[in-house]
Amino acid sequence: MEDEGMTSAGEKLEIEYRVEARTRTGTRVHSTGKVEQLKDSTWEALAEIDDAGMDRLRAAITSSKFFDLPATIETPEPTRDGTKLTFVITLGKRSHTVVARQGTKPLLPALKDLNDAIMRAVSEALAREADAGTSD
Amino acid sequence: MASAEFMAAQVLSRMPGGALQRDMVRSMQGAGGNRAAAAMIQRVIPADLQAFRDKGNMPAGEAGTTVKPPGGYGAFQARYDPVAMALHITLNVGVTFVNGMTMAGGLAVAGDTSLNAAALKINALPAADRQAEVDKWTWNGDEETWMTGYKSNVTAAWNSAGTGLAFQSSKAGWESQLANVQIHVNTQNVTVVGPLPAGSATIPSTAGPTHCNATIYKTPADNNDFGAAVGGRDASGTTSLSLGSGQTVAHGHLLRQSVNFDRNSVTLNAAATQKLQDIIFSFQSPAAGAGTTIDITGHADTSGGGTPAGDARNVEISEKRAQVVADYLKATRVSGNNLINATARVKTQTGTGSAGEGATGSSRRVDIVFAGGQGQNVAAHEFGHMLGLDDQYAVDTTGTQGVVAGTGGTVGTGNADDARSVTAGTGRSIYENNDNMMSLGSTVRSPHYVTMMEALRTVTGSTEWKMKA
Repeated sequence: MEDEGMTSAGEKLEIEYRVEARTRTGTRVHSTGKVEQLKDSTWEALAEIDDAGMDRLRAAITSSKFFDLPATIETPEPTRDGTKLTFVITLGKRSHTVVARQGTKPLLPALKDLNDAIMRAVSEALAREADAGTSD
Repeated sequence: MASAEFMAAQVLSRMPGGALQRDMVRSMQGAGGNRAAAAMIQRVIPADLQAFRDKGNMPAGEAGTTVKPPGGYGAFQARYDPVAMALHITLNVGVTFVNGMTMAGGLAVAGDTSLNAAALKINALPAADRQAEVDKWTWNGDEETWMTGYKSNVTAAWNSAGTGLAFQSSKAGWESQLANVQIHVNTQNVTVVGPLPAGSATIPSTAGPTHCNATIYKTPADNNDFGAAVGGRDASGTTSLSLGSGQTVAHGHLLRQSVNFDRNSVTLNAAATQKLQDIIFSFQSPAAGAGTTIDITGHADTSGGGTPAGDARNVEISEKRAQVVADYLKATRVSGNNLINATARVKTQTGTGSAGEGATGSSRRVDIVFAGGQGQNVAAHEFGHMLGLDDQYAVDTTGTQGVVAGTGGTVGTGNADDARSVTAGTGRSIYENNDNMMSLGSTVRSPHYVTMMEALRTVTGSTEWKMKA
């Protein structure tokens, strides 16, 4: 029996990662590798993550123990303004939503690792397309 | 000018308003000269007021009293000079400078999650162009210049000279006694000298503790995406600030909304409809008769233009777009709420055709401008938190509706300062999206002086102060 903490290559992966500060932005990753970006209340196609990149994302989600995180994570100190982060992730049969607030203190390490993994995967896809001259 | 004349002029300038008093003074000057007029007027000043002035600085000395406003945010030194009639508010700020963007493996990496979208935009550029863009998010010896600009920005925003607000004694016979707010900010580049000990007084040439530890992320002047924040006071009484360096410039996007149209269309598409619903939710007024002004301007792209008939057609399209947006704003309810009094709030409704526009989709739009579209000075807004104030912008506290997000509250309800502000006589402090400094704009109004009013009352030992009319 497969360990619940393990992921399989090709396993269903859907990510919606919203960042709300002065503006509302967001990134959505589909199982196909298609990436969309939230722009002015609508989702627009942005890039395509390759299979290796999607596998790295699956591994990052597993190692972050995302599905064990509480649904709401407040800042370690009372905060005015700041940033609201919403992660909605489906991996295989599991789905989970985490809403976190970020103030003046560093982000929870698990969420920082997840943020970095998503940004790295999307950035690599964008750079690959830009350097191939296919980006508009 | 001779000293007697100077004294008479000073006394004359401090007399409470009214032509009668001025006429009396001029009569005395005419009869006995300036010296005699000054002497007579001095006798008019109540003895207890003169005694109050003779006390000098309150508290004595230059250091002032450390004030920690209720609510858990902000800290500052306060000192009242009754002769100069100045309430001195001083903040000592230790500043750490952090790059907003770095390069790693040929890719831009955001220094904060709120800058993710900016990093992705850079990484969509060819590799050869990325470093130059990242350089715009990198400190390069301009830290001192930034601190000078920051101090100038926040003092101009909050001083009485900038706001037109001041305090006045409410004690009978003391009406001439004023308190004009003078903000002072002392900064120390902590990146150079290392972290300041908590609660220490290590900022050179200043009195009082470090009131705030700030982290400033380098961002371009045209970027307002950074999720600026102020943290509550820690055990040492120090608060924390994170800010984008570009946020000392007022940016206007929150009071300036727009919706886009399909080509040659005057019908709202799904995205425009969703955006308008968010706008209606966010810009509800708290009560009938209230609410910000609304200016609606339709635009068209340049396609089909260039001839009198084509240009006229584009003007017609832009006017129809403005009309359909105005109709929707006036008629639509979102979660049971509408833009209360919307018909009266719409100040102008025009279509400008394709003048000044391009041929792209962003030219096919309607601009909806609230409260004149004043920009938000984020650095000065966060400084309000450093003075102990709460937010005033209105948000959906239970969901994701609206175009405004953050730590505001439900429209029309009082924020954390409301009850104290009413007690202090500085007026109600409620959540509403408008041009208030602690909402979405940069206008400081009397409720924003509540913590300074409380400080004035503390250092003078008197509650007999009111907002100067």
